[in-house]
Amino acid sequence: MPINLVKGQKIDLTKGNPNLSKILVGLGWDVKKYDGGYDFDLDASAFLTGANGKVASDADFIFYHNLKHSSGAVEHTGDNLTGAGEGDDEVIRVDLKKLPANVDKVAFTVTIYDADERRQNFGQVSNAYIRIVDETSGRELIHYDLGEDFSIETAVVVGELYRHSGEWKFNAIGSGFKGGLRALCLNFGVNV
Amino acid sequence: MQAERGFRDKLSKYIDTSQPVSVDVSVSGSAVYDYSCFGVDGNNKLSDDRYMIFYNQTSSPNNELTYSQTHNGADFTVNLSSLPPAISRLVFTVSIDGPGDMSAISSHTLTLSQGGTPALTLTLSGGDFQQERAIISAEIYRKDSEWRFAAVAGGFNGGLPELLRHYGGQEAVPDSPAKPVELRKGHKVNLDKASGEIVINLNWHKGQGKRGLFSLFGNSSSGAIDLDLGCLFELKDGRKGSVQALGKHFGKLNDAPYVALDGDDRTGDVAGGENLRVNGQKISQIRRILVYTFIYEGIANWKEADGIVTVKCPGSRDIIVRLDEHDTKQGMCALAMLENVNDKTFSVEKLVQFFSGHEEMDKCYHWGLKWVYGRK
Repeated sequence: MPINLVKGQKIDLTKGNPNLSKILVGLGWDVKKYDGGYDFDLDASAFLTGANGKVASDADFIFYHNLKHSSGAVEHTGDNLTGAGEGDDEVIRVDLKKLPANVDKVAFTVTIYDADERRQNFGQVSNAYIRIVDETSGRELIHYDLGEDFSIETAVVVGELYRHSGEWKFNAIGSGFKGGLRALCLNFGVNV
Repeated sequence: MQAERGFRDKLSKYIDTSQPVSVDVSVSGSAVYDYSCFGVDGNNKLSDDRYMIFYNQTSSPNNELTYSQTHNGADFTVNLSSLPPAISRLVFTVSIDGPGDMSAISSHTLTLSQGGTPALTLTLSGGDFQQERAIISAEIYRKDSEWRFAAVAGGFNGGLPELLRHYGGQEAVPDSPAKPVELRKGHKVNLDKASGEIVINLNWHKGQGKRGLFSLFGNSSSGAIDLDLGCLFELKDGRKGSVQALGKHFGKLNDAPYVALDGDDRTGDVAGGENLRVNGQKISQIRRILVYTFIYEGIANWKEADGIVTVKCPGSRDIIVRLDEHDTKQGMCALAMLENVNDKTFSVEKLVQFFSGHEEMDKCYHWGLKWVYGRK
């Protein structure tokens, strides 16, 4: 049984589990129960930042056009264009031990592609979650349901891995932004 | 507070959820719209029919939900605090009866208010939709023991049956005859594809003493009311004229003007009133038809006559135009305008406009006929 987190909850990941290194970060959502309108295309991204919450360079922004970090520590496994199907919609692979020393946080976000044009927002997305799985054992460690907290936002910072006293922890952030991926990039210091 | 599609929030931020709240829904457009509020259970299923509130079931068992028709929509009164725990979600829907889809509406508004003060308003237009024929405007639902509001604004191309299937239900009243549509003044709706015979019926209360002595002397002040039904027609080729008993212009159904009047019911014996028939096969020949009634003899006692026009078209719901303004001594009343829509069907608009006679009415609607007095 994974540990189910609530918004704002922080939890140890490597403390007491020193061998944990390769994890899968799965993100899922359900969209479009109704006819009409455009398909939803939700994109998961990861921002590798310093303690100040800013990326050192644009290459630390992992998304559908930059799927793999140069360190090999973070790899986006590919874009799912429709969100169809059971299980994780997008998966980002993280190798904690490979993360460069200047990376103190890895924030995972979900944004709606072309949200303004398609007049879509997270109020039309349901059952969104993030889960962290130990890739070696296949065991689900953490599960965080985003619930009903989002409305007209077009980007969500779902959660982040962060270093604390030499260990990795996870923070269930769950905060929404308007302005989509662009707003997130500005927030994390990516040049857009 | 203006809510947009996708908006979700706790209701308690906007209203006192322990007090009744009013949910007013309306659509302006040219189709026939039905409004309903479904209470569904925790599995999103319509497990209790008594909580399907619409024109045919206007209140739930304990009046937690009530429906009342408004001039362009419906008003639901919702008492959240008294809803049974099994009802975990209220779904407010709009569905189209007959032809049309939501992309053709000019606007749709849902307003949640309390004590007459609007708290949340959702405004949508045809541009927000495509071929949906039934939509969920908004939902009010329980989540973590709080009532929340969601502006859904999504729907189903398959209309109400598909929407009901989505909630595990089926159409509530598949066999009952469709409710007639009553037009309000200035309101215009399209008939379904009008290929058959369109019957325009005028019925009224005949009053007392029709066969009594007084009527023989034309003293109808306390006697019968005789309404004559007629119409002005304008064909595509420019031909114009009238169909009415006065002057014996009974028209023809299979030849121009493709409009005919059944025999005049001057005796009032025919319970069904008077009928004009329009040949639905010839729509492409017809530009417009102005349906009117006039009082040939006697005073203009419209109130007592209480006239009602029913437009019947195979496959369409009956359309009703009620002669519900009486405050006039004028003896002529324009009832409804039928206009050709893309050679496929007619729109029907309620007029109920009074005139002193044919000529004045003709001028008002720019028909351009010459009028002389006649007798039947």
